[in-house]
Amino acid sequence: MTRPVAVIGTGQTEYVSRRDDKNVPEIVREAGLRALDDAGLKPGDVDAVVIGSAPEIFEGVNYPEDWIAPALGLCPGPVMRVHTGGTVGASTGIAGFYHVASGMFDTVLAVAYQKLSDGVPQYGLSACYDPLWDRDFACGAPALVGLQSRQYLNRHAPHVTEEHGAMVAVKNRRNALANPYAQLRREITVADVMSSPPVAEPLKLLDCCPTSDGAAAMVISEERTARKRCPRPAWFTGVGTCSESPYVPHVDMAYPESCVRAAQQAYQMAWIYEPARELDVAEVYEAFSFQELIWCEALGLCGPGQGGKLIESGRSEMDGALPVNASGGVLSANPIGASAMIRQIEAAMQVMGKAGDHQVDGAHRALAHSWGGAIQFSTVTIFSDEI
Amino acid sequence: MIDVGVVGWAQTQHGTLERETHQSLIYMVVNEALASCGMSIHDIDVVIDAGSDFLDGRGISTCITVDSMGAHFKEESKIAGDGLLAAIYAYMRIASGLFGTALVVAYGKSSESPPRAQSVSMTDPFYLRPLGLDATAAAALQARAYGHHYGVGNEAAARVAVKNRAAGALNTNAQLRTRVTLEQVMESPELVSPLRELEAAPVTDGACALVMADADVARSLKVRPAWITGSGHAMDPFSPGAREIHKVHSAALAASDAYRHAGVTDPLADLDLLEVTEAFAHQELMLYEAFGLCEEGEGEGLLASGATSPGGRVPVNLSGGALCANPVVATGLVRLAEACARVTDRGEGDRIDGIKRAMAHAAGGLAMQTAACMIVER
Repeated sequence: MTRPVAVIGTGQTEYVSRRDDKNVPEIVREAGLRALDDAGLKPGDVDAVVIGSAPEIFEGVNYPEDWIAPALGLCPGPVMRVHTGGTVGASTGIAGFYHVASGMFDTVLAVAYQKLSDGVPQYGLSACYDPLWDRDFACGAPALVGLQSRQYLNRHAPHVTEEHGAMVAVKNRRNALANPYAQLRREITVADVMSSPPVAEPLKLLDCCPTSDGAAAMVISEERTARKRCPRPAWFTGVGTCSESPYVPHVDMAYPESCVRAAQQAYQMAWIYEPARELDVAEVYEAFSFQELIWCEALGLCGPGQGGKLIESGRSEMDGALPVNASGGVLSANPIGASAMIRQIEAAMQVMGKAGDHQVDGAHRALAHSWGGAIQFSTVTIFSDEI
Repeated sequence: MIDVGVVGWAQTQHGTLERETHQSLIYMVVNEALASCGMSIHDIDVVIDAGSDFLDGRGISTCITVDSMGAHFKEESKIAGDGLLAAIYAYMRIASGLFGTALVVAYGKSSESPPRAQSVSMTDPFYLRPLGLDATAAAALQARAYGHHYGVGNEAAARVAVKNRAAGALNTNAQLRTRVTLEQVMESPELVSPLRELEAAPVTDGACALVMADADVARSLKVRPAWITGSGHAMDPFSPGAREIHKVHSAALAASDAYRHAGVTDPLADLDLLEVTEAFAHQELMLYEAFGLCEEGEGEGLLASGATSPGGRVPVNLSGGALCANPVVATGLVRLAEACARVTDRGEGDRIDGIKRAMAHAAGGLAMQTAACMIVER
């Protein structure tokens, strides 16, 4: 098939609502140098850089890689920027994987970032809508995901309720207490969530992620460097992505087929037959609480309509059989362009045994998921501690 | 490494395409590229596309273009840069052994916004943007530095424009299809000193699509593939002031990686054609030097020798280059399509014997900060 490829170092900035002390190249450099340091490497040891961020309009600089990437110290050198909306952090990690898997590069630094405080995030997201058809009623991400959440709740009522979404928020915010990089590190209750102000029905404020400034980076290498530099590399064993059109008549936001297909492809590559049993930990991109349940169903971590039961059972809690978002997830920090790479980093850290206070015991195989666009792009990455 | 061939390609007739949308341009070239190699969209394993949100006036442009490129329920990823970078990523995908075929798509409609104002958005908000530096002004600084450093007069660049416009007159896809004389170029209005209007690429709408396949698939088709034997890409420091702006390090580095892969040691002898992205005429001379076709500062002499003209040792831009059509984002991918057409003799127009190995080049950023190169062979 393809040659073995691993994550051998990771780096993150602390995620905060506003970084006043550093500009975009500087936070990207901060994360990049931390990842290189984690792998015991210097900028000169890297053969190529892959960089990712969501809409340029967030920071208002076109071709931002031209401005930002040189700060990583590999200049002149090969730089490629990926831009796939919300999935971009993961698409960047995956592009790093293919840089190495192709045999064209041996060691690659993949970085993803967003500095949402530089602009107006919901304005940037509203600009995603088609100028001729959709923009008149474009209203950012919460309105779209509100529709998705309502469709999901209606389909499975009374087995899934608004309280189940609140339970996801409570779990992930509790998990974030053990993650030093998380932005929101304060415990909340189901009653807090249910009584928080409405944002876009059925989403309430505490069902929603914050907006964050931050950057994340991974060092990706082939087998020889990985074995030399890293006692326990996180091997890429499954990679799957899928895009779908938002305009076909049967789009199903409550069970997105792009997610199902991306998962199937990654599982097939990783030889996973029963994901709920064979995976030890999962990081999914829940920008809004109900999405964790929707993704768990589409990823096959529980049956269709079983999301409510999953969160009630405690299976996805830190001490459950398959902890989901041990890091606190996107609900605890969302530097959009970096968020999908943070899922990969957290999954990789679990199998590397480097997750610190939120380490899941016996994590050998981890899943990282992301979504983007109008719930139309999906990525699934599987990391394992053995090839 | 797995052998990868470019098996099909298509480009639009470039120009101000007011009646077309981004989606219709994409749909057109994707269908034509697939038809050119007898494939269907169902044969495609992965789609890699290139677009620019700023140019499109959108947040995530692929939100509404994935269906027109046939990527519904497919692996798909977008590169934010020239389509030639997307081609390099598609090449990686197939070389990994995990994909048999790939579709590469790039498009741009520069006519929808004022291009010079558009290019100011590429500057950082702290140092360059307050100056209002745009792409034309940055290229003018570069032209001035190049001319000053090597003692090259303004006429040298004008001769590039004369050469490329003559070549473009024969290219049915080109936007500008009229020859120009040296006098016309030298007397055309000044944009930013020393650049003149006829030394700058036009504002162009257009798209390009390419189909790549691994050796097994490529050999099973009834068309002659252009085999990819080398690629490279590179970025220089951002600030023009932090670079040796009289040289193009990015292009030199990208080409040297491509040469190493392809076993090119003497580019003047080993390459039969170059298709380069010269948004401004003087840049072609600088690229001769960066690519090692001649010594530093000798670009003018190489041009005068006729070596880079049609019929010369290494013709450069037989298509007319970016000076005859510059669909930004797709420009570099068009260069690759032109190179493929020449090495396989599958192009329209006059056949030119003996083109067995060609290199395509894309440039990006202010004053060619970034470069991508790909070598294809018969």
